[in-house]
Amino acid sequence: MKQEKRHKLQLFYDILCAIEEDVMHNEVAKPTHIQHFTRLSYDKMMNHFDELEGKGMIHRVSGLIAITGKGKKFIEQYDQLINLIESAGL
Amino acid sequence: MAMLDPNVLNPYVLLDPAVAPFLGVIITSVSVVASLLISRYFFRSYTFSGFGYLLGLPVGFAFLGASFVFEMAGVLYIANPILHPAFFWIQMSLQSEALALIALSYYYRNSSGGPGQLMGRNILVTALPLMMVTIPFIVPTAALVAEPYFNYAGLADLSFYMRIFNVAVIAYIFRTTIVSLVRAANIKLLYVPAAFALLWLEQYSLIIAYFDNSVMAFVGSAAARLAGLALFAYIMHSVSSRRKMEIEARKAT
Repeated sequence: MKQEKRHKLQLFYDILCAIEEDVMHNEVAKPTHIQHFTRLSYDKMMNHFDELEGKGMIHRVSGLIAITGKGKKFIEQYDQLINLIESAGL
Repeated sequence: MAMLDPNVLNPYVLLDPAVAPFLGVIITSVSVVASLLISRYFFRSYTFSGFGYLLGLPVGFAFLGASFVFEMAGVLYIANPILHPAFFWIQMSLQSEALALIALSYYYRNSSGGPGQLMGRNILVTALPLMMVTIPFIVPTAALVAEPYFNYAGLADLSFYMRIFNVAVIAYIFRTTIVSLVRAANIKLLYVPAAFALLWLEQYSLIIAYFDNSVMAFVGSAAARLAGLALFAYIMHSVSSRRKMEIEARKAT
């Protein structure tokens, strides 16, 4: 089934949630796991990683990825936004 | 028995003059606070996401709040032959524009314009929002240009047509929110259509008040407006606080 095109904010949200999920289960987040969760091509995912790192939402140390406080805040805000949009019947 | 003025602009004049300003201040304060609160929630969502279609909601609710202020100003300047109709004119235009902007947000969220669509539909997709936004501005302005002095009878009739427009616009929003509710199959989404139904009832009651100068119809419209806005503000507040509680619970586990 063809997947609907995701908005950039949603892509960031999916990536950050995947990192959180991976850390919760395996204590570390690996790019291959995140790629599996987010269903993104490796190149695109690495581009998004660069962007997220530039925005201070993740940091990478020797191939492993960790989410920062700013990244967690983004997840909260995005959750809130989606809830608000859904509740408003939009 | 006193004769009824057939050209009542501000329905607060139907109330006892000793009570009208006091009641007006209470109704206006609650309405303005609720409108600005709703506007603030949507504005925060807009600044975070940058989704263009969301912009109509904070602006629309802010306009709605402003229209209530002008309505109250009309009550305070009831004896002034220039300011009273002028405030009424501003209130009427702002309110219709506000509802049109809110409807626009729903329209753009749900319209799926694409290259494979029919030309007629593309024209409709472009023209309909333009019409929705320009009518509340063009119609009252044209009426004012045609008769530069404020004609009470003309304004009263114009307010009737603008309320018909408002009723149609709110009905469109109501239909859209009901479709979202059915699609999501979530009973919690019933509150928003209910809030818009109450705002529709407010406009409908004002139309009744236009025809028979009924105090009950006006009081009913004020009650429906307060209930609608309060319900909407409550939904916005509960969505935010529910999320905060969920996040706190997630952090605790």
